[in-house]
Amino acid sequence: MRYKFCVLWVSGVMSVLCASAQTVRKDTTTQQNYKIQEVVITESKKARTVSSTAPLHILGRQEMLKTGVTDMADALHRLPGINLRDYGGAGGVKTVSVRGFGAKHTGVSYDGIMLSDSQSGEIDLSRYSLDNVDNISLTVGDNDEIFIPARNASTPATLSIQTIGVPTADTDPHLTAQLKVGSFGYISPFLRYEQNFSNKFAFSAVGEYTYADNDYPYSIKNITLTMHDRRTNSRMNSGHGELNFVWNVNPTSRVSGKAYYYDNDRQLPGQVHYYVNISKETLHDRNAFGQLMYQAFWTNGLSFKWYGKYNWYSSSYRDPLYTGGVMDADYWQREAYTAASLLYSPNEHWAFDYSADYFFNNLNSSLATDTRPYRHSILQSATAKYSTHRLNILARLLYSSYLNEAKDGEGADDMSRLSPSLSFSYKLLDEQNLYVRASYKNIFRAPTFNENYYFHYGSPDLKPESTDQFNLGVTWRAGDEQKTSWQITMDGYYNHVKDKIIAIPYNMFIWRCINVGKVRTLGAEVTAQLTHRFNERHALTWMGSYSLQDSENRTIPGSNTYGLQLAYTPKHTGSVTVSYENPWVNLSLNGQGVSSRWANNEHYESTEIEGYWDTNLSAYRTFTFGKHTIEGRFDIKNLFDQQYEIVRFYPMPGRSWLLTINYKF
Amino acid sequence: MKKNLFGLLSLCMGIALISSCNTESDPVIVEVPVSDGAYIVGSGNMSAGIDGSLTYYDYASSTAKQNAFASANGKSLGLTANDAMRYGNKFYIVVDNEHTVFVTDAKNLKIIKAINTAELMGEADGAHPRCITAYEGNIYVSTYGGYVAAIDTVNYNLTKKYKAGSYPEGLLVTGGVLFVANSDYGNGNASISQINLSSGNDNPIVNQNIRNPQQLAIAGQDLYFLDYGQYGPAPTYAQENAGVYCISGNSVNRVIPDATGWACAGTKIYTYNSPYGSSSTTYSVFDIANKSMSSFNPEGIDSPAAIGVDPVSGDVFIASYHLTTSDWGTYADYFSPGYVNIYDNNVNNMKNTFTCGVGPTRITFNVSSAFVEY
Repeated sequence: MRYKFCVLWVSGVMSVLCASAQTVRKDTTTQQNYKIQEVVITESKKARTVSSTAPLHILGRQEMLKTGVTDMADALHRLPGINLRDYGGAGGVKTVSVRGFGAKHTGVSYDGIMLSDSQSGEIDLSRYSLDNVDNISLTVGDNDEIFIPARNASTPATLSIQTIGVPTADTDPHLTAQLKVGSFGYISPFLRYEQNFSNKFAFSAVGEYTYADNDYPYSIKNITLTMHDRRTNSRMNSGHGELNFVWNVNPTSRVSGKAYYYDNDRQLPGQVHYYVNISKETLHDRNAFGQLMYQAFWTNGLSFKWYGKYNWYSSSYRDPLYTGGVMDADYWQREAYTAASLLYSPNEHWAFDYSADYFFNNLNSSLATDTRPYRHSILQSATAKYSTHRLNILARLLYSSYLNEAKDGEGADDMSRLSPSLSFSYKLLDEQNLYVRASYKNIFRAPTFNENYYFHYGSPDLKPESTDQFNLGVTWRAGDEQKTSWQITMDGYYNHVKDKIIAIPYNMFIWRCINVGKVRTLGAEVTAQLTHRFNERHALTWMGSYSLQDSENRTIPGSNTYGLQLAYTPKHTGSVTVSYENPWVNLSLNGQGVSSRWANNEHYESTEIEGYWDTNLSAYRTFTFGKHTIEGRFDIKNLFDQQYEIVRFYPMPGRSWLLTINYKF
Repeated sequence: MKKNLFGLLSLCMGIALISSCNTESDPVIVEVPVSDGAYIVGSGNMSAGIDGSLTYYDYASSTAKQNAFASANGKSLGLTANDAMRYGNKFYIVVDNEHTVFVTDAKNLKIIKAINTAELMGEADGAHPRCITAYEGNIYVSTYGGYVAAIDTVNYNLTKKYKAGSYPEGLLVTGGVLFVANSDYGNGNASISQINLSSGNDNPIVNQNIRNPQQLAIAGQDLYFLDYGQYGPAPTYAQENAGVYCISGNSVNRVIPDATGWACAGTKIYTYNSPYGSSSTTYSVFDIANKSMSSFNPEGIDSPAAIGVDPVSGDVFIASYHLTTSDWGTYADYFSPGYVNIYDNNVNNMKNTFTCGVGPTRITFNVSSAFVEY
């Protein structure tokens, strides 16, 4: 009985997530046990990346281990199209932009619900560790996953972080204890407890703590000299705790929820200086949220999901080197979010979804100039999907309304827009996993609270920044999983941004945000993967990705930035990984690099940042004793001790090591 | 005796006064000030990661040497060079975001000593050095920590640390009194410190007309200061109450309305006004001797960034940003190298023009003493 509802579950989820994976769906309709569920999920993901109507890249937990992914930043570097901005070290802020759109256009979802930062519009991914992550995926445009909140379709690209679920087959307690120790005073214990209390209720609790001095040595060029120093005022002290539950109310409905808390009290080392490093800046981030999800699958082809979330975020910035606290600021953000989705699949070819989201955001601060802005957002999406054995077509209309007010001042302009998207994939040959795909998506982003309201910076009369993207791609997966298998993807794209919001200086101290920029990006991405199994115990995997990105300003011919590559946007990005699985020690060698970038859109003299290539080596082995598993892992990051910068004047760490011991039962 | 202004140029004016009254008929050796060139301090641009720079314009060859500090030393000034001066045989450069005062040999600009003010005065007090002056064998450096350091010019030890007001900028010393313009970072609680050099006691001048003082000059008992005023409300953020003020007795009056930059020499104060949001720039010259004011119109200045007057020749140097055509219109380019025009003292004729570094912020002169036989 217990297995039956599970399988129903799987079939329900799969039919909507992945109606294209026909073979998978058939499997799940038969009576199977829990083991099947895991297989199905993994299988379906692979299938999805092949048949997806828009570029979809997934990095699963096993793959991350196998290919030597050490942390979130490392994982993001492996996803093509992503451009990571990293201020260095464990405590450095990390934001991602995709295909030249800018980090404010990258949506990040955490277990299915979007994260938000209404003030800056950028999610700092250094807050999320991989220890509790099952997979991360990047979707560019809209793909054939349609049973999602409208807000999840409101960005040009979405990075999804999926944490480890609670799929244990028994009712015993399970524990994972992990300790990571590394260079520059890095230590991070992690504990996870999970248990099915009955076949209806499962619970997990996760706690992790990270401390790092981050006082890594670096060198910096100063005209003819190379100066050596160490980062100072760089300590990170952060904790993260999570409680999750899943309650299967009955065979067709489920409630799941999460309580989350994150606290990071970090020092900011600031830009490096040639002669004196005495930064005293600190930033204390705290984030708490609770989220609930209810799902129901009915027999008449109707399914329903409801989401709710309340988010609280505070940040405190201090710089004691400026007396009187003139630079100090505290900010508090709140968000209340709710969404409902209704899916109707009358037959195996058609699926329709209607989703409606409402969220409320506000921002308060300690600044005397604060006007306490708030925003109501109402998003509705209608999606239709048609799929056959070889064809997937998806069409979506998203209607968004943003209503702006400020308690103590003038509210920004309201805005509403209708945003269409259309995508399809087609299996070229009946007997080959060879798909072509094409997609178009039009979407915009509302200005952030900083852009609208920040004193001597924001403008209340901004229009949204709108984007168009076209993608054309092909995926070919072939071979024998037991012997030699390979997959290759190729995508070409054209992106366009208009009414880009930029801050312009009126003098050195007062800036204003205006809508003026136009950006055109032409790009290409290639990924390839080849696995060869010599026998049951030896396998070699090679993975590579390359992306070409030409993102240039196209605003006004003759301006000082026209035709120039955008700041912090490399033309060439690539990564290569070789992993060798064997009975002794699994090994993986990974390299990733980018070409040179400019620190500003104007390409001012002496502000070009050199390209780099960063190589990492990883070794791990797993020992199993009955129910107990011990995994030991050793990583050497930046093997050749390259000194490079991603953000100008924020040098990255040189060679470092990381030791991980993980015990599970 | 005629009242003369001195402040930024206290040293050379001092020399001028001393050397002016020998009437013996026998041939004697007389010390006179000589000016050999002009230094233009470029602040660079921290937000764009552009280092500060020093441009030296040599009078003998009428040529400008770019990156004079970097080429003499093989290393950069670092971020946000803010002020500089020649004193004795040394040339001093104050670099805010490096918390450093570079002491160089005035002949070749080679570093003699890099004074880390944060180390010298303590991190909280000595961070972000801003402006410099000199008096009787010490240099005086103001810091955002709210202090002024008196530093011995022979052994570079801290002679004394003076508590000033909030966010000090320009300073001058005369008659054993240290005056400091305390800007309060433009937040309104500004003052001008009057510190007794021997006791260290401050008797600050507080007045509703002292809002955001930046630079000081003194003529007899009258203290002149350049005040940036404040920004008006959104959306125009219009500049309000900027200008040159005179403290005379207990009164503080604006003598030049609307000024955002100045230079003082002899009895004249040259100003420009280039406020936020306004496309027009105005230039005024005020004569403290007869309280007369007139305007001038320097040829070829797009957007003034700094002004200086050679104390010996009286030539007027005006540094400017170039205009750039950006996506949102034509604006002063704070990120690219600027330029300097040289005019005669009536600002009628342009004598020369030369390129300088990014963000020109201070013009100071290579003035030394020469001994002339009469």
